[in-house]
Amino acid sequence: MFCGYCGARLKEDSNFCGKCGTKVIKMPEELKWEEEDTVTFEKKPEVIIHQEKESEDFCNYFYKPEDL
Amino acid sequence: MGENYLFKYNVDMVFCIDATASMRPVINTVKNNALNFYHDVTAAMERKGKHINEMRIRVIAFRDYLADGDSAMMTTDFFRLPEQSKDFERCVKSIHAKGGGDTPEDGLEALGYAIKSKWTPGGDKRRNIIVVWTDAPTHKLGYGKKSPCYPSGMAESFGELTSWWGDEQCPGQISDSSKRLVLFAPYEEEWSVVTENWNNVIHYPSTAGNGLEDLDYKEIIDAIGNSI
Repeated sequence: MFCGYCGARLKEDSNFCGKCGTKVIKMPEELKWEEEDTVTFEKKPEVIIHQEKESEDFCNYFYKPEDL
Repeated sequence: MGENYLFKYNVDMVFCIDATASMRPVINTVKNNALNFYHDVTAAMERKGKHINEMRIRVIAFRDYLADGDSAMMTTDFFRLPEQSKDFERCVKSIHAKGGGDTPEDGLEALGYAIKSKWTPGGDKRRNIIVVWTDAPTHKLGYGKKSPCYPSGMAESFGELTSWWGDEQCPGQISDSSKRLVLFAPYEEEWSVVTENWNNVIHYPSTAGNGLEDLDYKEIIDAIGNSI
């Protein structure tokens, strides 16, 4: 790894830069991005589904007639 | 014309509509013209010098008790026109031509319900008109009795249904002077039996199975106007 301030090459376990003395800030585990974590969003083609709305059979004005 | 204009006709109509699959053409005609129906009938009457004071319409949609169960017979209350024209339009637009089973349908039961409608009494000239729309012959009364949906209290025979309709000697459920039955139906059993035995019937024979597609809207209005 490299120093974020002067660019000097550092050992992986260094806490300070040996050249300029800048503290090495280590990214917490949970913020590290592994390659396999990369998510690629592809724009999917829009699928339009035409669904004919079935109109009601016998609206609520209709009722089953009573026995006579 | 002047003398007839003194009378205000109070018209109650019951449409018995065969709602089985083959009836799509005429059901679409009724749907497309439902909103204008009141205007068109009153205009036809005005041309004859008759004025409609009040008009109400009730709809009975019928199919076949054995084939269609719960949806074999559906009815509405009376709609007052023109105030409830939009409700009437919504009502007829919700009738879908489907079902039916065998060729004959249960039209006589629909006629029974129509005869027993809650007709409004009174008025100078009252007209109680039943209009049947079907392209099929009808089963005999009681054919669908095995269906759990078949109503109790329905006329047990054609003779009993005839007594409900009545005649000059034996009044039925509707006043003889005000009742009219307009049949847009094939001249086949049992419709032909109705025409040959009942009074105040106007029969416009249709071709069986073709959904009354030969009937155009103007003919329908003229036929209804002639019955008033």
